[in-house]
Amino acid sequence: MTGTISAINCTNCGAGLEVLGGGRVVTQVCGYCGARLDATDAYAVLSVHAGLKRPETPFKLGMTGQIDGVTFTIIGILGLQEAWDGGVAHWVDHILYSPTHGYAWLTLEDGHILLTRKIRDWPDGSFVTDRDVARAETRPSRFWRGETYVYYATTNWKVDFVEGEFTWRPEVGHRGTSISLMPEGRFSDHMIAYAHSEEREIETTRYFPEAAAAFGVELPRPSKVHALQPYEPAPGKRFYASWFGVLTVISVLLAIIVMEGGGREVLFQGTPDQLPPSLTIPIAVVDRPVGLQFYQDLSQAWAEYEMTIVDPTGQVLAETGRAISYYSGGSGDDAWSEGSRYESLVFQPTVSGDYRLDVALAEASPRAQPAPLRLTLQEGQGASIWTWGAAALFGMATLWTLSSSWRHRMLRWNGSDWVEEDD
Amino acid sequence: MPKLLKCSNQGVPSRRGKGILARVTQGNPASSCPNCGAALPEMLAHARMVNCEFCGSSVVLEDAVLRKAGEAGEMLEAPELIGIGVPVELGSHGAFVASGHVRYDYGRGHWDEYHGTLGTTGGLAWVSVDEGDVVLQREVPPSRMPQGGREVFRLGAEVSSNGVFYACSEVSNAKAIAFRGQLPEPVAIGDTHLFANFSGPRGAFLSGEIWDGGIAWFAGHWIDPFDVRRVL
Repeated sequence: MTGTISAINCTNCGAGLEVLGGGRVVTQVCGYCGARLDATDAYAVLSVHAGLKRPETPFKLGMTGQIDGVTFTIIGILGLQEAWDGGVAHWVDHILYSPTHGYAWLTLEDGHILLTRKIRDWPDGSFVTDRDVARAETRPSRFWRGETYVYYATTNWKVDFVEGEFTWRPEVGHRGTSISLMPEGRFSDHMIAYAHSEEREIETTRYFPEAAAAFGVELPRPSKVHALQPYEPAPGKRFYASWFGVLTVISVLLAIIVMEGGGREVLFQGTPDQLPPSLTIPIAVVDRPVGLQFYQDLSQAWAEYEMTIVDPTGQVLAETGRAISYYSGGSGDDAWSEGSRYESLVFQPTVSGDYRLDVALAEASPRAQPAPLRLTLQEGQGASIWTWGAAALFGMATLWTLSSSWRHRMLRWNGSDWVEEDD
Repeated sequence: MPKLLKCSNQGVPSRRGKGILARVTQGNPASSCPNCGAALPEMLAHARMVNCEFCGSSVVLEDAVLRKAGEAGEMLEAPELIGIGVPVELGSHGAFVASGHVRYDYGRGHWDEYHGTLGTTGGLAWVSVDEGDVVLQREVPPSRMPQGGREVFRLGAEVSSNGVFYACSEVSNAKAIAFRGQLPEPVAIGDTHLFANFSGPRGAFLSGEIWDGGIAWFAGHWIDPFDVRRVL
């Protein structure tokens, strides 16, 4: 509980400093000259941190705000950093004090706000250290208050700014380690951390964006999803998912209609050796493609056909070939198949009239020669590629919308530094 | 860490001076202050000490006689989680109603101890409140007291009580500076006592107090201050 002192003069520079914290405050750092003062010894100067670069934070010393109905005051500000993976991450801790509810921390990290409190009912099991993590073959876990927490990340932090009142003796360069564990559940917005510096403590941290309104500040916009950030569906998610779903179904139906458009006519049905040298294709509609479909009932066999298409004026439109093969094996879950019994050829007619199709079996495996072959003509076939393309786009939009919760969860766990040995 | 200090009904009060006397019958509202004659509140069955709200005396009950033991001390106003006579829920432990309040000083600040009844059975308990650290404890009977006496009042010392192991996390002295309400044993305002706190598994907490000729132990659990709520 705080005493009666409400302000002091810095014993190094003489600046007036408010005393905001309680009886457990042992250090006060002057925001003007950087002097670390011993609050337990008449504010004697411990050391001086000159020229500190103030971290960017909208929170100031002396600000008050309500947290779960309790008024807390910001009494200290700590700038922290961690160098890893070639970069440096920065964040700001704000120590909070309530005469009735004690001390807590507000952390500002990439526009996200977290609230941290010390816990007394430690989870069962030993204190998790970075050495434990390094030795572990699976993510270390602990059980606390009915939930299983699994290892998330190790943070090796260093203090780079300090101002205000503290219940310990922070200084620039001070280092520590924090090992965080997070519940595996989809909707967890909190974690526990095994913090190890001069003392060992276990803390619980929760996502706390309400702090902005509580303390009357405006926060910078986060650039990434935070590990503790709960999933919030975007406005209209259900509408958009339904809308894209309906569009996907409509596009698929349209594509099928377009594909099936026009009349179908069987040009030939029999075995390949019964194929006539030439087939006549009467075509009346010339503004839409004509489709030729090959179907041969192959099994563990293959066949190659050569064909030539000549228009009514005698001009060769296409000299090409098509191969059909189908192989399969296995049974049950191990069943497999390869190839297709279908092939097709689409061409654009130039004039109306009788077209000539010369088709012949060029080469085939022995089992292909007696297999029934069917050659079908589809005149006036629509170009369904665009509607299939639209169906694919709408389908992807549907999946993207519906998977937002899953993607959010993946992004939350992206920050974990755990690497499976198989990876 | 809270620094717990409660007088035990198994120990010897640290100061029993002679003073002005008055006869009293517990549960009888006719009791009056032996110093100023003002009416005292009805003494609870377990109470041995009460403060006079009129003259500020601390009044001790000994052998059915009320005696002025000194002053009740100055209780400066401060935000409090718990108040005398105001029921509060202590998480899953039930409702607690404080009947006595002692304040201890540790130089730069103070902490509060409340004595009262807990739950529907009315069992007696202590609640310590120190800047958000809240501990609910009951007195440990002699058969379950940790062994070792003063020897275990040192940092890191390990003790067991009722099958639970604890490690000493704090040893210090505390001075009672004020009290209000009714307490189960006299508390000497101004006297300093040695105490030790021991942490156990899953928030278990054990406190020991020692004085010339006596020792007392209290066991219980930490309570989240956000779980302490006024009963509406």
